[in-house]
This record gives sequence, structure tokens and C-alpha cells, in this order.
Amino acid sequence: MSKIIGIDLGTTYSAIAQLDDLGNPEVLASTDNNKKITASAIYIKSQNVVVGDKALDALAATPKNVVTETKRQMENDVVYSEEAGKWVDKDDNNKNLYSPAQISSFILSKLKSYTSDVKKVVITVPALFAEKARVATLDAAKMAGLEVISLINEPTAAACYYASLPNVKKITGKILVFDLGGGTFDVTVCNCEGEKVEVITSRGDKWLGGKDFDNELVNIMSDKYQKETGKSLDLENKNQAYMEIAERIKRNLSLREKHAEVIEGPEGPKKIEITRNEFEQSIQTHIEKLKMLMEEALDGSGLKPENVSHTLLVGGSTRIPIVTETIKSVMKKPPLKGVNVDEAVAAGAAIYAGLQSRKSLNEAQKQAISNVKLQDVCNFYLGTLIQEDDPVLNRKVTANLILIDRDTPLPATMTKRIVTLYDDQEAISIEITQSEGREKNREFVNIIHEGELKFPDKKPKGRPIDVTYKYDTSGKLHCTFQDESSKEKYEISLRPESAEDLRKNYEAIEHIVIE
Amino acid sequence: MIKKKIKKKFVQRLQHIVRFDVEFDCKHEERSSHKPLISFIQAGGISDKKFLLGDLIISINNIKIKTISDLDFEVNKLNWGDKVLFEVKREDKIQEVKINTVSFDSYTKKKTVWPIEVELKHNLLKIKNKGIEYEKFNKEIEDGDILISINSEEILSESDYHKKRSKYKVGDEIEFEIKKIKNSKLKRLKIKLINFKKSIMLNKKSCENFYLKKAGALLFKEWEATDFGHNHEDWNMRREEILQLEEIAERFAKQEDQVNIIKHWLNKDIRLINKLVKPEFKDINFKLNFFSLIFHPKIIEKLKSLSLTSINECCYSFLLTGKAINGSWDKNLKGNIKSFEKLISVRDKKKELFIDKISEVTKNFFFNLIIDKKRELNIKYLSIQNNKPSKRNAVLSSEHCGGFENIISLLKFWFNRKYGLNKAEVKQAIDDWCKSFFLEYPDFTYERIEEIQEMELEDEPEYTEDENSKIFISTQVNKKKVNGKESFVVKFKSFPDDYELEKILEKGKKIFLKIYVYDVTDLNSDKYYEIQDTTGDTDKYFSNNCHIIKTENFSWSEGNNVLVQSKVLESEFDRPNEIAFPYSVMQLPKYGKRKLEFRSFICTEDLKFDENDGRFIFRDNDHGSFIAEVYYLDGYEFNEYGDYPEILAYSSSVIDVEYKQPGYLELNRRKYKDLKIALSFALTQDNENNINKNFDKIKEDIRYGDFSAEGNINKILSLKKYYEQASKNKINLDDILKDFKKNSLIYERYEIIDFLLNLATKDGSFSNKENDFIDKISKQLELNKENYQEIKKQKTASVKLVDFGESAGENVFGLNKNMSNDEKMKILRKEYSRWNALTNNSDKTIRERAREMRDLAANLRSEYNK
Repeated sequence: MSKIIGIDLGTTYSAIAQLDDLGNPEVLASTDNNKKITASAIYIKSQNVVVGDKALDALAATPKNVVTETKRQMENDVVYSEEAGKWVDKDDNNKNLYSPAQISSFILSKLKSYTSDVKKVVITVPALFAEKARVATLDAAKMAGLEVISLINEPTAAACYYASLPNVKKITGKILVFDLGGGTFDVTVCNCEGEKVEVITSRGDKWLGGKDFDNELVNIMSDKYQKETGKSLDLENKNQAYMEIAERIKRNLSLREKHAEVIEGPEGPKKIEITRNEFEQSIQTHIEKLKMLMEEALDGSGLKPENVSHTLLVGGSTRIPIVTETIKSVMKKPPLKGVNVDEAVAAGAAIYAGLQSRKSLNEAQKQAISNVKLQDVCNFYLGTLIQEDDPVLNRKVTANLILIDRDTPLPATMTKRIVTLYDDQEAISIEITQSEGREKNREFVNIIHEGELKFPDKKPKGRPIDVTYKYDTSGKLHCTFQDESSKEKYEISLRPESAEDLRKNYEAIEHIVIE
Repeated sequence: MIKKKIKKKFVQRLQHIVRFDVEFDCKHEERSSHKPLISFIQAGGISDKKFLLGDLIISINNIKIKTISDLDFEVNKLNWGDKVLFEVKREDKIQEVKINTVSFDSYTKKKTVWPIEVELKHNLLKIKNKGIEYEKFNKEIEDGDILISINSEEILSESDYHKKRSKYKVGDEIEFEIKKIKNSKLKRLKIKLINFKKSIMLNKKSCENFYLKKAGALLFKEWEATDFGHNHEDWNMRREEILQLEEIAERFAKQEDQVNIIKHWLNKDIRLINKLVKPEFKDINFKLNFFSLIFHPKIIEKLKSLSLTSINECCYSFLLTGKAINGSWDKNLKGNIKSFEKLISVRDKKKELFIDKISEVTKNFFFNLIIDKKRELNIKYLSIQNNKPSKRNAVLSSEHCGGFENIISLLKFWFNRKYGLNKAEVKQAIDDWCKSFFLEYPDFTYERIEEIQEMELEDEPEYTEDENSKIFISTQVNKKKVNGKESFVVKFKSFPDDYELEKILEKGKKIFLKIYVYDVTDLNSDKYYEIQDTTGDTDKYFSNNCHIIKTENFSWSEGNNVLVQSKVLESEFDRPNEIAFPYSVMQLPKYGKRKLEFRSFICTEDLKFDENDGRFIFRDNDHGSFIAEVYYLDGYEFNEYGDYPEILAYSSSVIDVEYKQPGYLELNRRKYKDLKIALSFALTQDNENNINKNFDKIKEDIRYGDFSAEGNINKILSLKKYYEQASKNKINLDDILKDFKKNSLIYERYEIIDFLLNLATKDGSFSNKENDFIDKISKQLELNKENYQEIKKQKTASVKLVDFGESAGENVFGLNKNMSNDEKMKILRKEYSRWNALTNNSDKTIRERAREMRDLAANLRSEYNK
């Protein structure tokens, strides 16, 4: 029987977990180095790709061939250019280069190889991952030969893991999950009762994580090198390598007040010392973002810090002292420590995978997770574009009509009625929108699907059309636009996986050997 | 110690309270707050020459008093014949006044009764509350006429009237000079003053002449019992009740009017019916449903008494057949109810109730259920034909089951079909039949029908739309927020009978509800009548003084920007209860406080409306009709003579509004376009390259609203003028803005911002200088900061290069020095959150701008947080 596993596909590190025979989540170690976390890095060497920590080893020699932080590109129409050593906009000339989904599929394939008989999988994504990025993740899984039974939000998976811990009774009540990884930050407020987890709200920043802190350290290194030698570091070509060093400095500064490294630059090697204070000053803007997002999450859930019983930490960047201090100052109490922050998400995904496929579990596994229950919410506003009077400009403007509110518990269904604007209108155009904020303006929403509903007959203006959105627990959106008088309807289930595109994607990578 | 003020309750002790024949200058309800300052003394009465006009009574029998109520309270303790000691303040001195109260009889002989009371309104002394005592005088004078003089002495005020009245005794002749309000003519009328004793007699006689004798008698009795109205509270209350009683029978008999249908009566009025009907009908609750009433034994009996014995036709059976399934009055069909004698049982599908065995309550409950569920009612009744009793069954429909009014409409058929009465005679018969339920009205018998037949009453002439098929609407307009927008809401208080509309729809015609709005502030009836009497050119007067409300919003407009709400009425389910007009879409013709009239038409598709002024076009005229204006000014009713068959119903409602921008008549549109061109050139006036770059866009985008040669010439001249000024850096922004404010509507001020932002960002960049320029304009045009910032954000979000200058925080996020740190932090968090949400926007430029803005907000906040 094939196994069902959970995968945390991270910006810097990824992990894979499964339920052991007793039903406990078990994070699987790499067959290369026996580590439980695998670097989300790819080294491209002609027809072969090297995935994981080994790929990072190639940074010094051929940095342009090493691809990192792919997750940050999942929603973009970009490809990786080895020539430029970076992600570039996709066009007709470069369409054969690797897309973020293809690169991610290599990582997933590598993780898949840590165990045998894996077909079905639950993959975690940031709570505020855009629809396009989610679709790209699904594509990546398909190319890696994995059937995704569900995508689950990372903080939700972490909460699920915490809730299933044996000493879980200690952390009941309103919980704040603080998930600061390598590339993204999510903060989720949920209600835990025993092993039942109800998500209340999530906030996040897709461009805030350990990599941003590393970047600030690289800037400090460069400034200091320039002060000493008069020349700055070659950040254009050797950025990845300096980022490696910065990460090492960051790890050390989490334990000590200062750290020195020998930096290779245009004027030869120089020993550069960086203090923790210097580092903390450089990341103040990012720290401010963490604060604001925590405040937003509290406001969004209608809670005050004193109403939250615990803050749970997830993600490697939560080891940075100023991060825990910030949490302490906002939440008025220190966060809960003691769990492996790197593995919590993958472990939670494995539990969720078990919940989704109870039939394939043995009795002990069933028993172990029998009480775990999960209630997630919709993390976006889902709507449609309509024409509306703008009282300021005194004319009709295209506006976003929200059908499903952010933070609505899943599954959610909502129907709203819209009407035609003109006599004898022949059709309405359909634009399904997604936004993180309560946006009315079309400029500020993402259109995730476009279509048209044609009417079989002519009617005066004001013809009613019922718009129904259904958002299920696996994050699938089903939309119906039905003409009330003729019962004619336009239906669409998102996510659309374009078979043609996927086939091309797959063909491009099927001959690749993954090491 | 604080004394609690106790309201003294007036309790009548004597049958006739002692009167001193003086009056005070205040209304009855003001007696508890007014001082007892004497304004009238009856000449020849007990107080004559003892009190003087202007005396302020300060004590009575050594008890100090402050108000008239205090005085009333003390007077209530006196007996006729008592000698009473008053203290009065007269010309700042306190004086004692002793008065012998004599007797009530003496009072009634000496007290004069005047025919009118007066009230000062707009410096005119208007007549109100005429008495019944002077019949001839009464016929000549109307309430509202103006009193000029008494016996040639001019009367200037209410107190003047009382002062002058104080001179006259019973029997004196008085000549009133009165200006008639109707025709402004002066009228002189003479009367001889009568005393109160005679007034009592005349009132008694008048009450005896009431059509309803019992009510009249009751009225007089109550007047007497309340000391001839001296006990005000009691009298006012009783009089109102009794006068209502008089109206009850009339109202009861007018069941064909929707407003008079009994089930719509207030419960207190229903109670009055029960007081006034004959004893045998006292247990009938006329508010019940049709079945409960038609099966009431007393009503059965009353209707059966109208049967035609000669041809053995039972009136009651005839009426019930009107509800019988498959029944017909013309044919002897199975469904017909024949020779109904007594109801045995009623049943629906499930249960049968035997009338003799159930209570009245159960029966009524059952009938209500049948009607509510629209079920058919099966009845079993005893029929006696040729003296042979038999049990029969019939099925009655509960469709359109109302109440008592259904019995009346069925009875009308009986009178018409069986007695051959014409419409006027049927009306008389129904009137008499209804009133025959009431005390003092004669019973309705066959003889009465014969009398009516002999009357040979003539039917009123029939118009195209007769009374029954006339459609009525009634509207009301209010200010209300609808979907968050300030709006005027036209509420339909009554809507046409669906049945009547259906009849028209059946003929294959489309029916529309259309509402147009007009500014009627400048319409003046005096001016209109003057024009009517002189030049007669009222059309010109109306077209100059009454203007349509317009809109720029095409989805709200018809023709030439005419604001209209139009709806096709297709079935009974699409009758609107109310229709809203958002304030933001309305363009009024003039600035300031205005009066708007909302004109609602229900009309057929044949009615055409003028595309420039929204007025309906009468037959082949080439312009709209001004009949709505005439209706507004003198109430000439639409369709009164069937002139407008396309208009099925009309109603209008007026509301006041304050319009805070120049009206469309006050705006010079070309001036506005010129200024728009000037502002557009001013944006780049110190940079010749940019002036040239913008020239095409300005030329292309600013339209003069017409493509005539004249319009184009103006546009070219304007472009040339401001292009040259801009090249020399000579456009004076302050002057332009001052003019622009005068000549633009509020939304147009936002539109120019929108236009300037488009112009500025056209090249994919937005400079600090452009930002400052547009900021300045927004400030001088006094635009709402948040709205402005939002427009700017939208316009600049997808621009690649944006330079907001050094004080970016202030510029971009609207922060200012007057804000507290907390306020700034709050705004920055909101901004961060908004831009952060846009970092996964599908538009790359917006995505990148969002990241920049997000970082800027976080950076600023961390600065403030230090």
C-alpha cells in the first residue's frame, strides 16, 4: 500500500514526514547526510540536477548554476537563467528554461526519494500564498509524480502538530503561531481545545524571512570591507556566496554578542567582525513588520495580547534573540520553546495527511490521531468584478464585489445577486478576483479567472444573476454565475491545471537525473 | 427645603362653576403658565366697572395666586351668591376688588355670545371657530377670512378684539367688516348680540337637527354636563367622540372606497360602531372576514329579507353563489346555491364542523384558516324549496376573500340584476342598507327599494375611466441612506389595484412606472395667476421657472441627461415599495435651498416624454406638457376629464434640499473646459518639452461637448491661448483655481485631479514636482483628503518611477505634523497592511511598487518607534 506523507516545501529548507506505525509524526532524514532538513537549493549541471545541501557546495565555484529561494518566485511568470544567474521574466526566447514549478518539482522528487512507495502527499504552503503560487505548487507535485490530496497552510500544520503533542492540554485556548522561515512570515491565531484546532485568522508577509536578515548582514559586510579596503564586495556576481557566510554569521550572533569571519573580496581576504547590536539595528524595518503583522492578526481575531495563552514558534528564524524579544514585547509574555521549530510544519502536514486518508492507517495510527480535528479559514477575499457608481467621480466604475470574506471558516458558500446594466444585454463578462485586503478597486485585486455568461434571450436592464462561490477545505474554489430567468449558468472550478502546459513542463524535465 | 411642584387637578364641584365674566389673553392650554391679566370684561356683567382691562389678579379671598390655573382652582371652591374679595395690580398699585357672584341664571342672561374667534397670523386677523348661533352670518363667512373692523373701529390684534368686545352688551348691534379670502372683497355684516341663555337654546335646537338624532342629543347632553364646555378637557374629549359617531354611519356606507373598508379601521372606531348600531347587531364584529360575516345569523336574516318572494329568489343564495365554485348568476347551474335556509356545517378537506355545536370563536378561527391557506370551503346547508326541506352541499372559493366590503359588492349585483336599479340607485340602496344597521336609521325594506326606484335617480356621466377602474397612486418622499449613499426615497403609500393593471396588461399594453424630478422652488401661484390674467403665456413662465433635475450618469438618464427612474410593471410581483435617487447622481439647476418635486407616472407605453425636459408630450405637440406645473399650483387633477388616457395614475411629492454646488444653469460649460485646459498646461508650464508632450493628450482628451464648428474654434483658441501662456510660464494658477471652483461641480473637481494624474503619469513616471502641483490643486479645491489620496494611490500604483520627494511619508501616507505619534503609527500600519497585501498582485509593476511602499511604511514606523 502506498504511503501518504506530509511535505514542508520551504524557501531555504524543506522537510518530509510520515506517521510511524504508532501514529506519531516522524520527520525523515536525508539519505545523503542523514539530516532531517534539506536545503531547498538546486545545482544545475547540464542534464543532471543536484538537490539539497550538496547543491550549496557549488555556490563558491559556479554560483550562477545554483538556484535558491525558488518558493519566492512561485507566483511569478519567470524562469531561471543560468547565464544571468537569476530569475528573469519569461518570454519567447527563454521559455525553455526552468520555471519555479519545475525547480520545485526537483526538490519534491528528492524528498520523495527518502522513503519508498509514496504517491499521495499533503504539501504545506504559506497562509497567504496567492492562488497562482498554489497552482504552481500543485504543478510541481504532479511533475514529481505526487498526487496532492491537499495543500495546507504552514501555520495551520504547525498548530495541528502542537495540538497533537502528548502534553497538549497545557496549550489550550487562543494560540498565536509565529512562523518565521527563510523566506516567508506567517502569523496565525487559532483556538485550540484539546486536539481540535480552529484557525481564526492569518496574516503574513511573503517577502520577510531569514534571507532578508542575511541580506542586511551582507550589506554590513560590504560596508565594513569597503571601509577597510576602499572597495566594496562584488555583490552582483558573488551574492549567493556572501549570503552563505551571512547565514553563518546570523546563526552565530544568535548565540554570541559578536562574530568574525574572513571575507574574500576584490582586495583579498579581510577579517570582518559584526556585533549582535549592529545586526539588530540593520533589521529594524523587518522587526517593525513582524510587530505590525502580529498586531494585525490580533486585531483581525478581535483579541488582545492578554487573551492569547501561548505563542508557538515555527521556523528557523525564530532562533534570533531579537525576534523572541519582539514577540515578548508585543504579546506581553515570552513564546513557548522546546519543540523543533524546523520540523513542526512537516510533522503537522503528516498528521493532516493521516486525517485525510484514515482508511489507509493501521489501528494504532487511527487511535493516535483520532481526536485531532482541524478547522481552517479562507485566507483571501474572493470576489467578482462589477460595475458600480463611484460617488466621488460620479460615474460608473469597475469595482470588486466580495463574496467570500477573509477568515471565513471552511468550507464556505456564499451567494450574491447582481443585475445587468443595460436593456437587451447579451452577456456579462466574468472576472473572479482574489485579494488579501478588502479592496474595491480593480487595480488592486488579482483576477484568477475570466469568462463570459451569454444570455439566450433579451431582457430589460436589471436582469438578476445569482453568483455563488463555494470554497472547500482543500482550498478549491467553485464558482457559479446563474441567470435567474433562463437558468443559464457559467460554472468554473479553480484551480485550473492546464494539461497542455503541464505536459510541456513535464517533457522538459523528464530526462533530468536528480542527485 | 425643596418643594415639589404639585399639579392641581381641576375637579368640578358644582354643576355650573362660578364665572366672573372676564377673559384672559391666553389659550386654554396655557392657563397653567400665564398670569391672570384681564383682557376682556363683559359689559353689564358682574365684573363690569369693578375689574378694569389690564388688571392683574394677584389674590382671591386672601389666597395668593400666580397663574390662571391657580385662580381656576380657587374659583372652583366658590358658590354662586358668594361675595369674593380680589386683590389686583393696577398701574403698579395693589387694589382690592369686591364682587358679588349673584347667580348662574343672571350670568346666562348678561353674557354676550360672539359669532367668531380670531387669531393673528402673518399680521392678519383670521377668523376661526365660528359659532352656530348667527345662521346668516355663518353662511357668509368662512374660516380664514380676515376681520377688519367692528362698528368701523379697526381691529389690529387679538387683544384689541377682546378690548373692543368689552364695550358691548346683550342686544347691541354689531357691524363686522370682513375681507373675504376667496375674492379679496370686503363684506359688511350686521348682527344683534344674543345672550348665553339664547345660545343654549339654539345649540339644543341645532343638535336636535342632527341627522343622527341620538348623536345630536348626546352631544347636547354632554355639553350641558361639562358646564357648557366650561370644563374644557372633558368637553373636548366627548365632543370629538360624538362627532366621530356621527361620521361612522357615513363611513360605514362607503365600503367601495379603499380607505373606508372596515378591516382598515382603527379598533377605537370599530368600538364606536358597536355603540351606535341597533341592539340586534351589537354582537357582530364587522372587522371579521367575509365568511364569518356572511354566515352570521343576523346578516343572513337581513339579507334574506331582501329576497324576491314573487319569483321565489333568495337574495342570500344569490350572494353566496357569487363565491360558489362553478356557480353562475345567469344559469341554473349545479354550483348555484338554492333557497338557502340555514347553514348546517362547514368543512375543508380534513374536518367538518357543525355550526350548532361550535363556538363563535372556533368558527371564526376556522374561516380565517381557510382564507389564509386559500382552501376551498365546503358547506352543507338546509334548503327549502316549495316548502320541502333538503340538505345540499356547495363549495365556496376563498380567493379574494376580504370582509364586509365583499358583501356590499355582491349586494350591488343583486340590486342591479334583480331590481334593475341603475348605478345611482344602487348607490343609494347600498347607502341606505348599510346605514340601516345603525340606531335611528330606518330598517331597509322592500318598500324602500320601491321608493328608490321611484326616485329615478340619474347616473353620473361616465368617463373613459370610470370610478371603478380608476387607478390611484400616492407617494411620499424622504431623505434616507440607501446602500450607504444619501438618497431621496420615493415611497409608494398606495399602489394601484393589481386587478386594474392586469386588465390593461391583458390588452397587450406595456405599463411603465416613471419618476422625474423637478426643481419647483421658483414657481409662484400669485405670479402664475397674474400671467394667466394678463399675457396668458404660462408655458413660457413654467419653462423658465421649473427645471428638470439632470444627471451625468448615463445609467440613470434618458434623453438629454434627464434623470429618471423607469420600471416596466409586468406582474403583481414587481410593484416597488420605494424607489431611491442617490443624491450624488442628481444635478440641480440652481445652487442653494431648493424645493424638489418627485413626479410619479403610471402610464402606458404610448406616453412619450420630451428628451430635453422630461415632460410628457400631449398628443401631437412638439413640446412637453406643463400640466404637472398647473397641478402643482392649483390642484387641477390629471385625467380629471379623461384628457390623458395614457396616464393611468399620477402622484407627486415635494421635499426641501440644500444644493451646495453651482447648478447646471449657473455653470458655463465652455468656461469649465477652458479652465481644464489651463490647469493641464499649468502642470508642466516651466518645461517646454513636457508642454509639447502633453499638448496632444490635452487636445485629444478634453472635449467641448459638441462637435460643431463653433465648439471646435473655441477649443482651438483656448488650446492656443494656454499653450502660449504655459510656454512663457505665465499661467496664474491661483486665478485659474478660483475660477475653476466657481464653475465646476464637486465631482468635476475630482475629475480634474484624475485627469492631471493621468497626464502626469503618462510617461511612466511621477515626479516630485508633479506631485506637489496636484497636491496644491487638491488642497485649493478643498477635496476630501482621503478620497484624493486614494485616487492618487490608484493612479501611481502602476507607475514605474515615482518620486514623492524628501517628505515622502507626509506625501504618500497623508501624515502631518499635527498628528500624534499614535495616529501616525496607526496610519502606517494600515498602509503597510494594504501594500503588503498587494505584493502578490498579478501586475508586476504594482507588485514592485507595493514592496517599495510596504518597506517605506515599515521604515517610517520603525523611525517613529525609536
